[in-house]
Amino acid sequence: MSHRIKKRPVVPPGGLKALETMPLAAEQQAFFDRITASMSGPQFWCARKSSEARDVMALDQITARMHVQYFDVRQDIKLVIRLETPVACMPAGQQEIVIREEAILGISYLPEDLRQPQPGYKFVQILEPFDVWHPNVGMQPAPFGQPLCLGPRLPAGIRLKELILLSYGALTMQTVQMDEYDAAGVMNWPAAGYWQQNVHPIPLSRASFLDTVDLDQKEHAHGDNVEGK
Amino acid sequence: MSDGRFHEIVLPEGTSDEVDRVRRQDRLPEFVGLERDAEAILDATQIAIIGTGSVGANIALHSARLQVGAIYVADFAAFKPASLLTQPIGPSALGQKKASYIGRRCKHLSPKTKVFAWDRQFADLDSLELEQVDVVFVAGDNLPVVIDVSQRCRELGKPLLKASVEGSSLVAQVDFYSNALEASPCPVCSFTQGDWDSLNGSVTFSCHGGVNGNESDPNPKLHTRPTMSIAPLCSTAANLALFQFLRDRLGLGQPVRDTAVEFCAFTHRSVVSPLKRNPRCPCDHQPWELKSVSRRLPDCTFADLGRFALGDGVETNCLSFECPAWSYAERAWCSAGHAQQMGTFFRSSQRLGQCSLCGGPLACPKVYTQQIVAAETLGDNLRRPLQALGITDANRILVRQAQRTVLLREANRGVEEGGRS
Repeated sequence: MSHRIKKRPVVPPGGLKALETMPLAAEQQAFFDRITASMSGPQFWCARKSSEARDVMALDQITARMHVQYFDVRQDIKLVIRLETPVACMPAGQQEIVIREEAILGISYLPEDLRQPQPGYKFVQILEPFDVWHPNVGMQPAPFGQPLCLGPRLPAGIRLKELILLSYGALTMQTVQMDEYDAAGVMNWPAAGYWQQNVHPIPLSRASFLDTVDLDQKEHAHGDNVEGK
Repeated sequence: MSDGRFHEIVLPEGTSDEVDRVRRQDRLPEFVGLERDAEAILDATQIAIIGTGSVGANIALHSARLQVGAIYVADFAAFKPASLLTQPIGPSALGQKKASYIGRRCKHLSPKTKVFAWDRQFADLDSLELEQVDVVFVAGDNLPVVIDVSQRCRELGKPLLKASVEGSSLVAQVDFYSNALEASPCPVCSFTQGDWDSLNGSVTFSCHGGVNGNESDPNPKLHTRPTMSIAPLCSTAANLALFQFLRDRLGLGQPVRDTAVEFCAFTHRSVVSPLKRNPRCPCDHQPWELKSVSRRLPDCTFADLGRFALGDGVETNCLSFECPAWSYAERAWCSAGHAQQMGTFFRSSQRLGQCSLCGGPLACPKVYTQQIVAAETLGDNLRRPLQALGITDANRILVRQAQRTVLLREANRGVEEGGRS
């Protein structure tokens, strides 16, 4: 995977709370206008898709950690993002954890998700890397995408930005459910057992979603130049 | 019962000879202002009751005493000892499935009424099973079911009566939703933040469905607190619901659709208020139009179905299509990363074939599949039979255009035995 790093974004004073009201930059606005031009569906759904698209583009604007790769709001919401985050993997045939530096996540959102609570694994699939080794990530052979569980229940109408933040928290293991006897269960029993015995790397990162400290360190380590977006 | 259909309650021969001779007209009053043929209307009326607990069971039993044409009852629970406190049952009912038990009692009360029962989760009931009914009652504290029932009634344009109680204030309330127009209200329109919090706290899921890759088996666990009420209050709510139903069906007094009636036993006052559409309601308020297709759906093309649904002059490029239980994959990948154009429908458990380069199995991650497919995405596939696109078995298709949704189903669907045709 490449190590392109975005131009250092500017976080508005209100942080994530200001997403709805902050103006979009030209690049994000143009992308938003393009994808929402061909929206269809009932009025309530189109209004929601527009609001979600705006939030995601605002998030893309204020953080160097997330990059939108694919965004389709014609019918249902389909979003693919590249997330700069440590991800624990156990490559096939190996016994040692390998920490990758980024993940490609696929997020699917349907109209019925607005009106009923959903299982935690419903929305997010890890498209890359393969062989993610995590108690709350299901084992699916590539390239189906490994489901990422974000909790025993996600509330009706959860926002895309919350799914993204929860995904980051889960992958960095800042929030993790390792108890296979918990009523909610785990998605990968062997991984749960492994991490119970090897808790010392947890969490994989303490950086918050909007932090740039870990990104600066990565930039330094790889000696990359910062690119414009 | 695993096919998502109600099962009919049938009594053994000879069990109801005396009851058979009971005639409703021996007791039915001549209601003030009645201008319709009450006997004919009630004989033809088919009702569904979702939730046969304290309120729903009373609704069902009284409906049987009205000797309506057909009663459909649905409830996944069984009677517990605490059920004796509020429900119209005796100790012999304990442990029995509520829907079937109440269904049998309805059948005993009115042998001429067709009675059908569903003892499993409402979500597993085929969505068209309510098509035959004239009105739906929902009675229960299970908010996920209330929302599901509400959405299905909206889609089918079925009037919905929601009966509820608030025990501590001795209040019984019945909301009547016409579901006639896009502007009509639904139960979710009046949800408060407290209702949403209660909904979100009422269910958890295990990882079972995710681990097995079978999202249709999320294994939800409900955590609802039982309704704290007393038997007379539950009966009052049931009676209020039936009064509203009778007034509507027989045209008695002022119209009752899209109104809420609330009775308080502290004050002995009733308040009637209009129900309003909430523009921020997350439910789809557009009723479907239902049409039957004489051919097998897999033999049809999407272009044919679009024209059949919306007329020959329709611009098919503006349409979108949904085939329940089928997803559309434009592309698929093998584990080596080779991408391949697909343009095919598949079920969640199905493989998409093999990579032409390496022979590895192909798959399409969920984010690149579509449940609702726009005509422009289908492109030339608009004019290929559904069978050629992978849809080997489908008995319904949804066709959408702007603010219209048409449900197409095969014409032989719904032609059943007895009163369900």
